[in-house]
Amino acid sequence: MDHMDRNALSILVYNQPGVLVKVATVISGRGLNVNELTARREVGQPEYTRIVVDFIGEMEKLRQVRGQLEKLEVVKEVTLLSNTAATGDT
Amino acid sequence: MQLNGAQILVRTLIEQGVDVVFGYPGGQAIVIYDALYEMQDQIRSIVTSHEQGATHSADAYARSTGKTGVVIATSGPGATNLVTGIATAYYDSVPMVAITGNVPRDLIGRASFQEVDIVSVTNPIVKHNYLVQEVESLAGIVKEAFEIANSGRKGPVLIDIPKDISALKAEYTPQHHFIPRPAPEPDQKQLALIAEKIAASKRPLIYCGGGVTFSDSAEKVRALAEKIKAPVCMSMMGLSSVPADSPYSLGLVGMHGTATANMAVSKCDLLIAVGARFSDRVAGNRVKFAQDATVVHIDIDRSEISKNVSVNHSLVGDAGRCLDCLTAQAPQVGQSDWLHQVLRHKALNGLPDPFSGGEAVNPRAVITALKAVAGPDLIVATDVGQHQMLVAQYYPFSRPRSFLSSCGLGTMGYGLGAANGAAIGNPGRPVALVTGDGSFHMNLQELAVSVSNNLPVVVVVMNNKVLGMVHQWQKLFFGGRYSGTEINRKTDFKLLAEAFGAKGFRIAKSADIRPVLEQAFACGGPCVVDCVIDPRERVFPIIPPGKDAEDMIFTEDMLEEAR
Repeated sequence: MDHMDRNALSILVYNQPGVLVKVATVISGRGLNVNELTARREVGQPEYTRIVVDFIGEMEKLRQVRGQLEKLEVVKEVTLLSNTAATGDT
Repeated sequence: MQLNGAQILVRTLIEQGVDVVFGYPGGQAIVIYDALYEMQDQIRSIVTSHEQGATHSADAYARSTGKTGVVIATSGPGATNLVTGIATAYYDSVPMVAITGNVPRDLIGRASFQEVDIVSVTNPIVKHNYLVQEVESLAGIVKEAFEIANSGRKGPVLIDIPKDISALKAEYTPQHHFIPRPAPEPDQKQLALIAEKIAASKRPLIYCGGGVTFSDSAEKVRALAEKIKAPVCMSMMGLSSVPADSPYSLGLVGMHGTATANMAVSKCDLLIAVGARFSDRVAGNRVKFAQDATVVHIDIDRSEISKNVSVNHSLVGDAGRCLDCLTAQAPQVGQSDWLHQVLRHKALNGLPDPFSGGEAVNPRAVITALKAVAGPDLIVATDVGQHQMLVAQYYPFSRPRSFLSSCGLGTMGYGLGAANGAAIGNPGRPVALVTGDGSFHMNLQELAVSVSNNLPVVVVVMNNKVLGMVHQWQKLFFGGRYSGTEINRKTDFKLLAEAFGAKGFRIAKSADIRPVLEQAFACGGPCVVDCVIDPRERVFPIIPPGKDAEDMIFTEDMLEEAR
């Protein structure tokens, strides 16, 4: 297992107050450290914002965080972006 | 029709099928309580002693009836007092809608009197929450909150309503009753694969959790078990799903589970988990748990699949629907040596004799007598600790939704509020709270609510003057250094009950058990039965934390030998 690889989640969220803290709560609650974070209005879709979070951490935790982010009402979809092809997006 | 926010809220609650709310009024909830006053012939308001008690009542009302529990509190301390109860509901997937008043919008963010950002506080323990910004959106939010609380894996939702919004007028538009969002359909390929695994299995075992209870699928578990000849073990949350007297039931699995259930997990070649999440109290050692088995996980929450224990096959969907599909595709199994072998060992479940101890009151004998005295309709609530595990081990549950306990969060102080909520939601059914002196001290003020509403709640206090479960761990794992657990309170629970306006009884020797419980259940109203229990009582068997079935300890002597 690739322990300390760089991995990112691309999270499409509704553009509403309090969304960033809800996403951050799930991430920090699982002990993941955020390396980089950007939040931008989704092009052509002003009702959505895309948050891209770059982590350093274990893939297993990242998958768990992804599953739990997908459960948030404010999240529309989550995509796993990985630099290690083998881990893939399952 | 123009109505203020509070009136819209209360009407919308009624439209969502709410007939009782639990809560506590206050400055920022005053308009909401005014609207409740107006509609009191359609919605009952139960005022508890403390907001935490209100959340536990709403929680148990939901667990025991299948409806949504509703709790209302004011801002600041009223709202923060809900936190433990909301977290309790979240961990056990109980549908709940919590409504808090907040300071008016122009005072938010100014550290105003009784202001707290309850939306931020509750983020990790709710499915969703709202700070209502416009009165026009309130009715839609309330309906959506019920929909979210009851869709997929159930859980709590919080709505924070600034006071000016509860007072502002808007056009009232009636809302339809919520419809839960459809669960995903079980994957056909996985179903076929799992049916093949069942056909190939010589030693199948079903492990069920709260998802079975909350999707009302107990009968469907039985149908699958009978068809494939699989015994069934249960987590705490799944306990009342398969009747204790069913030949297929192996009882509780996990840390304090039966030897039969835990050995079956070790020996099975196919484990079918239904609506359960392999918590550390079930799978103490995540790697060794069912390590020789193909593991199948049926759950409505996709994020639970392979979270704690890695599984071979999964079905994401409603437990009842998945079980129906699986039972239809599974082969009919005739004779099963495995089932005979497991059931032959069922009597050797490793549980100590409930009637040993002579004169001294054996808490196990009290628990088994409860059903004999109160009958099969009894709803049993517990607090947390030794008494809770003894109820899980010894009470012969026969109906789903009749066991109310904080299983995931382990909230001491849950029980009395829960017993009250169950009594209110199930008129005509007797309710017992089995508690300990430690847990009971935490929220015993809710006895005032039992008395005010004349609820048929029999509180059985296993009074051993110590915090028994931690005391037991200190004995087993910390060389008998009883730090902080020998509390030895002087509270006289019989007199305490009388001071609250309830009846008080005492069981001081084993011969008292039956006659005193008969008096307690015959009295018709709330009462407290103080049971004098030896502080050296231990809960066995136990699998030490992080270990598996092979490390199960049955007596203190065994632990000494292991050292």
